[in-house]
Amino acid sequence: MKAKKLISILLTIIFITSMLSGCSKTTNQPNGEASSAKKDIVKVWTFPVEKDYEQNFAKIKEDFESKNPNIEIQVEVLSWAEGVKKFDTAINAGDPPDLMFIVPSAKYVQTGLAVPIEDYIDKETLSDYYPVALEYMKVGGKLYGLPLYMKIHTIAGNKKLMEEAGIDWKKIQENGWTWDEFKELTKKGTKINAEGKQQYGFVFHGAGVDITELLNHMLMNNGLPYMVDEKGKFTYTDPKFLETLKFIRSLIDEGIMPKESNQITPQKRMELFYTEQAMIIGKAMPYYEVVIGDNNKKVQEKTAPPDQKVVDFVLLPEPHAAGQKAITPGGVDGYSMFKQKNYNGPVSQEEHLRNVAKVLVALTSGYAGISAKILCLPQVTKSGDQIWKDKYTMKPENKEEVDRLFKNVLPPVQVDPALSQKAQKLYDEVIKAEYPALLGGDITPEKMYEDVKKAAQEIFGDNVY
Amino acid sequence: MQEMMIYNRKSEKIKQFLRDYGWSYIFIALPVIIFLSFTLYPLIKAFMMSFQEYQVMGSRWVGIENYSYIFRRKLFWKALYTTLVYTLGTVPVNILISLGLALLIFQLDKKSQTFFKTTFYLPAVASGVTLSLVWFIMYDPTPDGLLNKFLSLFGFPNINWLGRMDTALFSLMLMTYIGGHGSGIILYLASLGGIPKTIYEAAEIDAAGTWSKFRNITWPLLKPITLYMLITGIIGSSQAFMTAYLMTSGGPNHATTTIAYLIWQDAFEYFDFGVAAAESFVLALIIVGLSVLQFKYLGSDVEY
Repeated sequence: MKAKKLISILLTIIFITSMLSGCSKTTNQPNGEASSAKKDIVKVWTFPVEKDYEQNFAKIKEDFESKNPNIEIQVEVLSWAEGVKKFDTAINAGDPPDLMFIVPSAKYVQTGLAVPIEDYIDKETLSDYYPVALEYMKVGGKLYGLPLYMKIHTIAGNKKLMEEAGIDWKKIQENGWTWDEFKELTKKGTKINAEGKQQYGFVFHGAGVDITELLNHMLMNNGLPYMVDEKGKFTYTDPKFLETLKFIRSLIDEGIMPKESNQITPQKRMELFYTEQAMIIGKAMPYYEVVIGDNNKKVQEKTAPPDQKVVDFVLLPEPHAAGQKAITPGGVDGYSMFKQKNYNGPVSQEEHLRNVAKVLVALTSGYAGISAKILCLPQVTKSGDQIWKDKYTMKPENKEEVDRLFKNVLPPVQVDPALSQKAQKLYDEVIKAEYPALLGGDITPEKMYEDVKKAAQEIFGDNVY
Repeated sequence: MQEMMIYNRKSEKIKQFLRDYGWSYIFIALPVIIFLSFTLYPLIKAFMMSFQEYQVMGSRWVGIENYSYIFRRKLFWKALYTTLVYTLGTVPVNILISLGLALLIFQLDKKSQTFFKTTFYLPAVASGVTLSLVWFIMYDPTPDGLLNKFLSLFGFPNINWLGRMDTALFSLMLMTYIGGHGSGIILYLASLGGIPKTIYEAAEIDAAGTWSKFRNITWPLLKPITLYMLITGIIGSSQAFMTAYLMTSGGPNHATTTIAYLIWQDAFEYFDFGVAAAESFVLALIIVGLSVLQFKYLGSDVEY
């Protein structure tokens, strides 16, 4: 009886202790490293940016920590699918990481936890970064982080299928194409293929992440590059918005894009590309040369699914509306800096933020440029260019196209964060909600345009086009 | 001296009380602490938040502005309507399916009953995320999709299950029709086992048929468990979130935006925690109201 009582007391103590320890604040000490007790710990949340990113990060961390023995970098690699949601929860709890691999936006700035970095990094260090790249890390004119690489999103074609359809891809790369030309040529690639399967001229994902990407790309290429322009006016009330919706809808109506486009995930899109059921896909990035190259190896080694083929991939520019300038959707990816609501570290918050800024610079300049090199994207720093400029290994036709495409990237406009957040909510609640219904054929372009106009007038009043 | 004796007697009484009941209070304290920390405190905090414009670095008191905003907001009413349709379309149907399956299984021998109980309960132990992935494969909108391939055998055209406004909500309902009857079946089987056989024997003597026995004996005696399933089912489906989040992200055009999904979206996408808290309290009031009505009108002749 006594033993039973003793056991129940022990179990109760264990239960209570484990419950309370679960509630306790995590200490900033890494497991089992007593020696680092007094180090200032900088927490970094990142993503698998490229296939070797974890090793590259580890090398930067090792170099940095050997030069700064009082600072320790703690890294957590998040999944692309859920990482941002995890960060959103953390920032709203007042406990974001010090550095997050994310481009700053109005909603983060408005939490009051995003840190303007110019207070912690001197001008000389910042002069290593190309100004155009820094512009993308600004909100309302203030710099909240540093870029790791410049990026572009575009479309890409299967060279063999395009040549079979009589399409001169080289000419398109050099001169671009209008919407009408795009339609005419992609129609040639829309057919039942030799295996009896439907081959689509163009497949763009409409499910998963960034479901409105095609719409954004086409709006940019129809003279509406920004939702809110430099004058603070909402632009999607312009009739060109309707014109763009009609163009996208016509691609589905004419069978060039699948009628199930609003359920095509990026994975499904790639599957269709690998099985030669899609002649041109979007979005595409220069890094696809590596990704598709890896898949080609699998096909040759017969470790890929049996219906997949070797694909020779060519980067292409986005088509643009007649009379409009061709634009390449682009920007940067990089790290933003944050502070915690209840900071409780071994050094003062000011000193901690200075240390975080040092880590930020290490993670984005010099050797860190290896990520841009692997992703086949331009460097954002002079120091990165010095190390990596001559080490790119892209196919000449794609390298030339990347250089051409980057010339058509627009710089961002700086808009008041409050205005920007209002526009974003309208975008999420109306445009992002109705766009899949437009792709699915449930609503017409006219209805969607009217809804956007109505919502914009409610929010922006006369401050619309 | 007398005071000392009274004091000693009192202290002895307290000691005796603690010896007899001390441990019980310690054990009770644990769930009370958990309730206070993880339920009551967040509830009070959320209630206060529903009157604030929440900001991490300091919230602003806005009175009933959040409540007045949600009642003016079309999307809130649309989400409420969607939740109502989802509830009406799932709860009664699922109760009937569980009852039907339980009646079929009840006829079998013990071993077969165990087999079917385990089989039907299995989806309940699988993670919802995993199940959603399986459903994603089934709902593949292309002609290669499992369901589409199956339906094409009977000449049906290709269906974009999750991508059309008229089929998306039904697709989410279909997921509940096919899986998720484990608990219901077990509850009904336990209740069926509790009905005395003598009642059926007496009915048989009076020449009662199968339908008559079901209508007059089985169904009335299963009423307590049916009421329980109805109430918990309505509470559960009013809070339906996971499938809307994982399968459709509330779309297309908010066709599957349930009220719980809207609350999540307001909180974690738009960072409008005050609005989300207000919506949560309105939802809680609706659930409480519905439960009270059900107890009042359906539970009046139920004995427990």
